Amino acid sequence: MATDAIDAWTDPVSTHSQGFQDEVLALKQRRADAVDKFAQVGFPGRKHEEWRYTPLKSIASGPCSALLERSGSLLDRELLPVDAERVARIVIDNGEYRDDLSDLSAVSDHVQVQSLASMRREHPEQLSEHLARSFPADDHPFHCLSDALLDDGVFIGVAPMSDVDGEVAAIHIIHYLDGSKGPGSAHTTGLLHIAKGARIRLIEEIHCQGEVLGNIRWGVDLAEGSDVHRIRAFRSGCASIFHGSRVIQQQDSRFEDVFTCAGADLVRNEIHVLHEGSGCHAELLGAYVACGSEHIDNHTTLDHLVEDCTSREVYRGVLSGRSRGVFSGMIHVHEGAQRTDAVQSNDTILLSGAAEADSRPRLEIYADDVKCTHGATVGELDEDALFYLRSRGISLGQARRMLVRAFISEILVATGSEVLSDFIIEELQQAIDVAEEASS
Amino acid sequence: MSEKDELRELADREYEYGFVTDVESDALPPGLDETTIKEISRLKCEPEWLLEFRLKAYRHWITMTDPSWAKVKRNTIDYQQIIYYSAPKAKKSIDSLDEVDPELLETFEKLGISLDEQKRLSGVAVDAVFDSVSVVTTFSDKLADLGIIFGSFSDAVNKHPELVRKYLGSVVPYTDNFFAALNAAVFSDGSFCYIPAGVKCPMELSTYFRINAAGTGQFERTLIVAEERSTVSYLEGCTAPMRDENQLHAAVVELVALEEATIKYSTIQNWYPGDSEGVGGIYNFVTKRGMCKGDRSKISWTQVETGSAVTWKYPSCVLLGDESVGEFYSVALTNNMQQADTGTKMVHIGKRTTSTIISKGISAGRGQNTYRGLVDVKKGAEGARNFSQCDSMLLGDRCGAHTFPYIEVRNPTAKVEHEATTSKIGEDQIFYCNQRGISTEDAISMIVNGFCKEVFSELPMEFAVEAQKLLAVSLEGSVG
Repeated sequence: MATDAIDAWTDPVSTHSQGFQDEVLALKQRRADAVDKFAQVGFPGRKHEEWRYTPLKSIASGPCSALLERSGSLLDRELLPVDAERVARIVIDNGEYRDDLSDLSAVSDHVQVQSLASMRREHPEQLSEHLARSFPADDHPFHCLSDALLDDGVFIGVAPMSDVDGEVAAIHIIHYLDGSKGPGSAHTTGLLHIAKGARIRLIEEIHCQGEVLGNIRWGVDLAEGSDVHRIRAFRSGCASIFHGSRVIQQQDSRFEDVFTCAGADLVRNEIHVLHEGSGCHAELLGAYVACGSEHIDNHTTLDHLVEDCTSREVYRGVLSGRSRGVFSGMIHVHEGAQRTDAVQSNDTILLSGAAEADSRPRLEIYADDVKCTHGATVGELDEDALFYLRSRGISLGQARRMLVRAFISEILVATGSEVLSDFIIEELQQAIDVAEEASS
Repeated sequence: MSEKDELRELADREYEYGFVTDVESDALPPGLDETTIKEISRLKCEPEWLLEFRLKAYRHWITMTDPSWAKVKRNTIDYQQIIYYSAPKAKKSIDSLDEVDPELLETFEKLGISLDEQKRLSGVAVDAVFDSVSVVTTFSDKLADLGIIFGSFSDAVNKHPELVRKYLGSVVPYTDNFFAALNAAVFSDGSFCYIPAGVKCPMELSTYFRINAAGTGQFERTLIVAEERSTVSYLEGCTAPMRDENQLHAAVVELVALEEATIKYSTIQNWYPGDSEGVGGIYNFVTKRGMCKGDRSKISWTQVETGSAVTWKYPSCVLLGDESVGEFYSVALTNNMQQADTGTKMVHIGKRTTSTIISKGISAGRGQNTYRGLVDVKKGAEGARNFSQCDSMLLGDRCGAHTFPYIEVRNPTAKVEHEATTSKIGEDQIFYCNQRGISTEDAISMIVNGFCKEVFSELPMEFAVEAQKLLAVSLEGSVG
């Protein structure tokens, strides 16, 4: 690894990290350890097996090593269509939790929302415990950065609802990353704790402007029988984003994640799900489009630690221009995790001769009574299907659109909302159209 | 439960082919430096250019580090403890089988490949490699009539230096990887095969490799060149005697198929896997690669891997010619403490190239079986097509089956599909068979054989029989 690249970050990270006040020793230690670790590992190069498809060179060269300050200039962006009366809103502006822009009136008392900055001041011990559980020390460069520069973010705790018929709480989280005043990075930590039998629905979206690096991580803890449904929309024109989630599931809990991305300079989307209790289900879905020289990198890891858990992963990408789409999935069935049922699939459509798809659907299995399948396909749009449509008087352009739409729509059904799914599909479709016009 | 008993029985089974032949051998002292290489080259009366090749490889090798990325646990190898050259004391010339060391012939007979028998009945030409030097070659006259060159590598170096020089290292350069570099530096012998243009080789070519002298690593090098419109089928089969030390086997196989040529390379590997505790056993780290150089050429790899403590190999195809075809059919069985990390690489460069990958992994005992494969479609590979299927079967709850496919596609007209499944033998399947009077043991062999059928059907007839036998021996005791 080039040492220059590390140097571009090591000093700023170390300097910035000293600017934060930590209330307890554990947090201080965590920060100091992360600074040291990052100085050691830096950003891995292509030789590192887990990072061989992720080009970090431009990030490592350091333009974004400064920390972004509060901006507020992206507030006019068009948001996902969610029912503002029923859905609470949290705004995170360049990494800062904005109390003034957030609106929590739509959620009842059983949902506790607190900025991470205030949690750092008021409940540092609790925060330190949560972090230790969700993010055990490792040499992941972005987790190191998050720890070294731990500042703000959000804690969401959901208690079981007393009223059985009550509506599922829903929260809309908006990240603005604005680098128009100069490049920089924002490091946000989210914690989501769902108590026994509780449920929540999250809709997260990310908007970018200018040269920024968004480093967002979530620690999700699902107690027995709880349920999380999450939609993530990386809105068009995203810069460099690392988005990592570590999800720990207890018995009979359910985690569903729908990832969508309408193009970004570089996205690394990581989800690590651990099934610690039996009867869990995880559903990881993704639909992404990329054009130009964009790069979308998806990494999922499912650790089936105990018996009788199920998981389903489907990631679908449409690539045009010189873009690159990556899927690297791992299903790890540990010894004793009998009767695991895991499905993993990745399908990619290449619309241009210069686009590249890399797929690595992996299985690691140490139990015999399991059903695990994975599949990957890469190809262009089906000639026969195109011919069928054209023979019925549909133009080539229209036929291509229809096929692409059908391909990604299957994923978006899981959003559970027609309005939302139509909106996102439209945006993905537009990203492709623009790219197609540019290339034709 | 009876199924458990079957599995236990299979786990307790000792290696059948464990015996050592006492043949006096000429060996260099253990250790490796430039002097060793010069000595090997001198002993084999090699030309200057080959010594140069070896030394270049050695100098490159010392700059490399022992790779560790495979999903295998193994002891580190002390390369200075290996004997790099050992030859049975040579008799000056061999005119007939009668002159061959009778003990040696007996060894082959124990392995079921009596040269006599083969000669008379099956019409298979056998170039038997015993440790490192070819001892006898049959049918060479018949082959020579057609212009086919088939013999030991050393012979070829002396008799056809221009051919060897042209193709040696052209598919697997010595810089390719750690073990390929080591092999290039110290390879002792191997087979060379050249099929002239338009010739269809009338018989299956077969070579038996056998590791014998204690502490001898075997570093064969095989080179097969098929000229335009020629066809050849090559068989390779291996068994080794029981040893407690880990023995390293780092062979290199290079195949070159020119326009419209077809090469079929089949392997049965049944080296000593170590005992049930994982003591001893062969390390099988082999580099095998075929180059489909000409248009419409075809290379097909078929392997049945049941032995070795650690198997680590990826027979690959570089599909350079337009419409060339690459195939990989594999059965890998790991039992007790055996580990296998195997698969293939299909590199699509030419237009309308196609490749097929069928991999069947069977894990039993505490065996770990990994499929690792790359399908790489380069930018110019217009209309490339790949189909991969990797199925794993687990027998017992302490083994592991892993699948690590890598798919890299840079051309939109390519169609790449990968499928994998993992399963075990269902209680219902066993019950169904038991109910019809088939014993559990027979039922397991039937199901396992059925599971591997797609691969076995690709083997030449002589090998298909042996493969089924091997699998049966490895799994229980008899196969119906």
